[in-house]
Amino acid sequence: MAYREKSAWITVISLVAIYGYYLLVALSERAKGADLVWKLAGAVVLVIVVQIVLTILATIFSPRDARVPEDEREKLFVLKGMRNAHFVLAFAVVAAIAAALLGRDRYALANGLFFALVAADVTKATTQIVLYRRGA
Amino acid sequence: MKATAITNSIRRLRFERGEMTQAQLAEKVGVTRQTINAIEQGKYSPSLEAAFKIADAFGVRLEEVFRHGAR
Repeated sequence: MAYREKSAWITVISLVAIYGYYLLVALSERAKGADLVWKLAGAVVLVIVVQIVLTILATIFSPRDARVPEDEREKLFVLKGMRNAHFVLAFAVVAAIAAALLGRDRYALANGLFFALVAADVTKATTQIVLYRRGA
Repeated sequence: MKATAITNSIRRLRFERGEMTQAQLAEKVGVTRQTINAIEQGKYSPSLEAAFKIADAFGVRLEEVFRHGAR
């Protein structure tokens, strides 16, 4: 498996697991105010730490691959991922705005916008994984 | 995944050079091994610059490595 495919897997797994758990907690407990801020900050820090640790492990297990700079095909995968991510981000942001205009509270709006960012990142990394798997 | 219209002789050229590995070719060209594999299998058409580098790595002319499938 290519080093940058591993990075994409790390992104998808960490984002879906940690932010998925955060969103479940945030939605089920209807957390608000400082409580919500701390939960969100904790999730963000946890994602950063998990991604750093897993990236270090991936580098230790394939140090030669890690040294090869991103090539033209991999850059194309990133660009295609960002294009798909843009559509998801735009759709999710519009949905969050619509929810806000329909009278949801500001915490719902904050969570909706946060979810939009996460969904876009997951889409980007998932697109890269699919392209790596196809070998395109 | 639809194959590209470009065909290539990378597999034969690697064989003729003492079974050069994809990893060795990738290092000479400056791309990942997976990208060499994708090019060799006709799943990805390289940039003109990468195509020239591949030809240089084998010490042959570009058209000895790549041909357009329609011709």
